[in-house]
Amino acid sequence: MFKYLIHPIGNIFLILILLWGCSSPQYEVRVEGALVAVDSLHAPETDQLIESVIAEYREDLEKVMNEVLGYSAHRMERGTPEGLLNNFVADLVLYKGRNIYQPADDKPIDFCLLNYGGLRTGIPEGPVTRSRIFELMPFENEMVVVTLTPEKTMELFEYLAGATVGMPVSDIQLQIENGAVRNIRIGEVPFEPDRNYKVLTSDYLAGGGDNMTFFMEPVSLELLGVKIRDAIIAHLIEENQAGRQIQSKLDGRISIE
Amino acid sequence: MNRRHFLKTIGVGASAALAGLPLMALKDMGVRKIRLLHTNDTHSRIDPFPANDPRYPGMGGYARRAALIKEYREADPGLILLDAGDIFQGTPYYNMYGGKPELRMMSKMGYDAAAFGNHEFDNGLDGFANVHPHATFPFLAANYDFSQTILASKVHSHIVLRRNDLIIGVYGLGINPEGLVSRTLYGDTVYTDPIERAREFEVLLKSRHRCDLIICLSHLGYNYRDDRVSDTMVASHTRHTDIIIGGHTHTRLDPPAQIINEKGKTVYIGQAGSGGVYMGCMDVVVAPHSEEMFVESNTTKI
Repeated sequence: MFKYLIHPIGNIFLILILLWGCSSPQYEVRVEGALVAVDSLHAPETDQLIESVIAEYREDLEKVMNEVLGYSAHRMERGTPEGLLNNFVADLVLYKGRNIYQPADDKPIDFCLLNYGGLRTGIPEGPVTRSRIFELMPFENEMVVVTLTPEKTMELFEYLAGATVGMPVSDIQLQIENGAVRNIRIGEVPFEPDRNYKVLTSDYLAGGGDNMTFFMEPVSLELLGVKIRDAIIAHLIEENQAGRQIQSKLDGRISIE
Repeated sequence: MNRRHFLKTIGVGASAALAGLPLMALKDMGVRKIRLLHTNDTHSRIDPFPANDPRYPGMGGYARRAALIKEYREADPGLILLDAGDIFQGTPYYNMYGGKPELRMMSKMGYDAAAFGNHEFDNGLDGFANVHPHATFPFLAANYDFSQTILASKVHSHIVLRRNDLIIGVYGLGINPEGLVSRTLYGDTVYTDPIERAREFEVLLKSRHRCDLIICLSHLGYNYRDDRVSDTMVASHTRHTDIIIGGHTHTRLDPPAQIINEKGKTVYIGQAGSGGVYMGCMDVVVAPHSEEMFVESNTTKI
């Protein structure tokens, strides 16, 4: 066979085969499709084999989810312009973030900003289960440190002044008067318009979520690799091991004049 | 629509133009058919949505999806079943078991392949490697270079399936993990241009594997307002890709979207929302070009 291929006549055959390949009939693909709802109308019965696999996991999972991680001294709900839940979550996330963050430039995180919409349910007084924290924070948002120019930082404060709901913040204080922002303090220090600020937030907001456009094109963005939910769970367990109940207070960090 | 009626009508819909011809006649004319089922962004929704869920009360769930797939497969044993990624993350099942139950059950459902979604990185490359042996189906990502990682040779670029007298090529595309996934999780995975890889692999599947049908299994996202690479972009910048099964943007495409490619041919894009609430079903007909068929029938008359 190989002999024929190197033979001149063999080559002609090869060329003929190639030509035939090029002129082979053109096929057309046509598709008709739809989405089928996975519901009891389209599948009245469930698959029993799969049900038995799920059962292997479900019972253990329920045990873990119903585990009491700690105790709350009081009920915490989200609020506007500030709320017990807003302050609790923002404070502990900032605390955890500062513990983890190893800055290349030795500059620490200045403050924390999260979003009201990210707090999906409140914390009751008394025992707090793992499933409650999953309901509070169902998203897989991770902690990130965003370095902003002073101009972008000012846009952030203006955003807070215009927000209709209370954004969770920590280590900043400001007053809103007729939609304008006044008396901004970061830590204990008034806002300095000539330096960058490091803001701890979630990857979702850093990507411009909730219209936080001031986070776009930052000086730098550093991922901490820790989920906000995991930070809350760790805090509850640590406080419980130390024999303390979790608690929060309103301190006027955002006030409307 | 009545359930039985749905199963029936979707079967003949695509070949409405050829209706009335017996199956043998269709085969003689070179007409071949294949059914494609697809899911995406199921996000560890192993149990159905709760009965009090405002949007999808009691919908979805692995056991119901499996029952539906089984019914389709009984009617058509040759069907193809694909998932466009983000199998992982979204319920405590993933946090606790790292994706093992999802992969075990999808293997039992008979998935042929899955795209590598960004959430497949969520427990790091080690986390994926630990549960990967529970999947009997391959994960595809032609534009992720895992060669310097623990996933080298575990994730593939493409596969070739032979069903219903058709050779079907499937290649995978993954989204840019930078800024979307923590670097600590994706490690030394190298992301390369999805469109370049798509053009490379569709040619490979067409010329070397002589595929009759080429499917792109993508986790890029359907479409964006900015210049991020999307399924619509892949569709318009390729020449041999016939179908894109997509994910990531949780888009419901019902019916599939149609985009014109570089050769002026239609590319069909399917995506089925998220959470396993819907499953996409495509009936694909591969037939000689209609103009040629027309010419052929005229010649016969003469």
